[in-house]
Amino acid sequence: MSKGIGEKVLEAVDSLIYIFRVGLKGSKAYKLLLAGLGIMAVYGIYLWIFVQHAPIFLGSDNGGLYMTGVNEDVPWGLYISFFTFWVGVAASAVIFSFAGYVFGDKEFKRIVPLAEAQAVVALIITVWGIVANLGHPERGLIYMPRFENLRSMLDWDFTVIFTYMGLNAIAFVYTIHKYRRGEEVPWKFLVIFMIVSTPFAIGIHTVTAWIFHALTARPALNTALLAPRFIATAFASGPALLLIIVYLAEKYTDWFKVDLKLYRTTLNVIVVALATGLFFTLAEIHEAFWYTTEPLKRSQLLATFLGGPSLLLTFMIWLWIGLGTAAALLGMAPPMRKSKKKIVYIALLTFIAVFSEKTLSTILPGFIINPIHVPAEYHITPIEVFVGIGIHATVFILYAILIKSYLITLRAKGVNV
Amino acid sequence: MSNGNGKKIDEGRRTTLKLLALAALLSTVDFAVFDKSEFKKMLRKVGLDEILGVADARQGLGDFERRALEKEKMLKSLCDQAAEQLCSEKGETSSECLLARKKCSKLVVKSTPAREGKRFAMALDVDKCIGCRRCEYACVMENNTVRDAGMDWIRIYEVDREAVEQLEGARDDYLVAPKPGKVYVPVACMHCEDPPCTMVCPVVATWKEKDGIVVIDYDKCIGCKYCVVACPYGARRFNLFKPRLNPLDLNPNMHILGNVPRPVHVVEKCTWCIQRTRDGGVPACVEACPVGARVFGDLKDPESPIRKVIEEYGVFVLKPEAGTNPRFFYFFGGARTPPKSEGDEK
Repeated sequence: MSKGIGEKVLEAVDSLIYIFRVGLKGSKAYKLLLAGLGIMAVYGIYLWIFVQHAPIFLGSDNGGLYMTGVNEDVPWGLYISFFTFWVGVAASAVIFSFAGYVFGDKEFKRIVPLAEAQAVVALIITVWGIVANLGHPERGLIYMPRFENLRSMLDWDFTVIFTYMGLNAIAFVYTIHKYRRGEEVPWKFLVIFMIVSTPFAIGIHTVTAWIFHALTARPALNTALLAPRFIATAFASGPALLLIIVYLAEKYTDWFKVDLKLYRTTLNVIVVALATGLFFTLAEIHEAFWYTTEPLKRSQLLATFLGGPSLLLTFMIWLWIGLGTAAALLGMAPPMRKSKKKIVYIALLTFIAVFSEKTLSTILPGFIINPIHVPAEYHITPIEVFVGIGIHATVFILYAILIKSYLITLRAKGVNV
Repeated sequence: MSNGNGKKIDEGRRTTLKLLALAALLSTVDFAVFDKSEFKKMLRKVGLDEILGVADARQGLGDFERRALEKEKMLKSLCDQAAEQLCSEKGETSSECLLARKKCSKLVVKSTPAREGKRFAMALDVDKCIGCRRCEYACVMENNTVRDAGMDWIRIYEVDREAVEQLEGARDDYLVAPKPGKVYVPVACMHCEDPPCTMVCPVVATWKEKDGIVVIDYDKCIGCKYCVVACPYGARRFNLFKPRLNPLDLNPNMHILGNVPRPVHVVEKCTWCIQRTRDGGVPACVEACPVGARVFGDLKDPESPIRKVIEEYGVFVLKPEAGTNPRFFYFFGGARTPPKSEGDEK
């Protein structure tokens, strides 16, 4: 019996409600986790609306972006660095959907919805990071969807990010919707999804890199290597986070089990991505110390690698080089590949390494020496940290709900996908 | 739903929902088909801009005029209030009161459009400039910049005479000037021919006018700061504070795209004193310069001082490799202002 379109829509809405209904239920520890995240989220959002953006949202005289570390020489700070990092995490979901749907790996296919959920939540952090840094979010809401200036990379980024977010959200809800009924996701849907979403996965990160590098004003960022570097380390951080999530899911459930082979294959991806990323960093160091003829670029890169106005930046870039090398070498060592636990440790190491590479170390080099060669300072302020934590906490609540609902769906279905 | 009863209820619910959906569809069709002309008589199309009271820059100048009038009315009432308070404190005949009232009566927010056939440009004699920062001060006063935020549209850099083009080793925190062997390079918006800042703006809140002045629509800027990142001269400023100038301290001669008090969290920058130059004047920094280092004029007018400077001395621009074609030139006039002697440096 074929159903009408109206009923199908109603069923989809029902599945959406089901995700949240199931995702919010759980043991005491799970509820405690959600409550803890909730407190952090409320505090962060409070700080954002009532303190940092109080002149905009409340019209009050106090408050404003002057409370953050941004100043006339460093217009982009911690929030935009979250944007660069999480956009990479989102982009890497495509690895898993490729392995699962295109190469037809059964094990990978089971964790594809988790990767899709990760892409959605990572992109929410991304967009929120931009909005938290925006002077007038309410004007952005009106003017950004008009796409008035197609020469601006920000408009293009806006397009690809929202498209990729929507695609992944649809795919996730549709998968849950089908699995709930004990059905497979139809291959027609998967083909269309893969064809449409793959360019966008690469696109979100490439266009984000172009935002930074298509500027003659910031020579440290004005390098065509930026987009490849972004993609390389993105393919390390995203799988690393997902491995950690899968490991936790295995630990706290008794029905979700993943083969060690998946861990190893993912680790291979991580190691290759890390090695490529490190190689790109090496190429940049070579340029800085050997042959760059542009004085501003030279001083910006020297300040990045040898210490300048921001020692935090220097610390983070060397942390990336150190931890990244360690993680890549450990990932290649056979004893470390024997157990899931050890592989997850490497994933954690990778995550921290790429986090320190993709956040401040990506954007600050262009700003710490201003275009007129004057050193500029940037200090992270508590309000930025707490708003940042609030954004992350809010989004991780959503991530927990999505993961939980998927795992419960798998149990209810009672079969191995 | 294994028992029959449940199935029945389920089906009943489905039927109801179907009927509801059909009803909703029918009512839409009904609305679309019938009485269109009647509705048109009753209803008027209202844009989002109109509801929110924000204007679209593309609609043209009529819009700016309207907004300028609104701003003028608002600022005038604020000014009158402040003047009233001052007068009640100091007395109607006191000089402060009279001055304040005069200022309020003169307050105007203009929306003068660009005149055809003009291309403004400025040049600065690096030999003459003594780095006294008086242009910076005049700029703050003229353009109603917040006084205590440390924000100024002109920044003056002290560089070695040899490094003037690349600005290597520049610093802007010098205390004594002029020093021997140093030159002083004031940097503000260059009003480039190919400005990268207008290219990156995602909402077209900044653009180059016909007379070459790059302006910002403060009511449209969303504050993403992308233009600040894109400017190779570090000339753009992000207004981190709420405007908190006393209305009586305002410069009464204002332009909607220029020195009208900016809202919080928007980008602002030098506009070559659009409120003065569009009416035939010169920018405040040119007027304030004690050594006459700055030259301002119309590039298309063969008699203008800027043309004389270009023809006589030859000029250079900062950061030609940025590909922006600035219209702010630097030149070496030859006649150096003598630096302070060693004994004067304290």
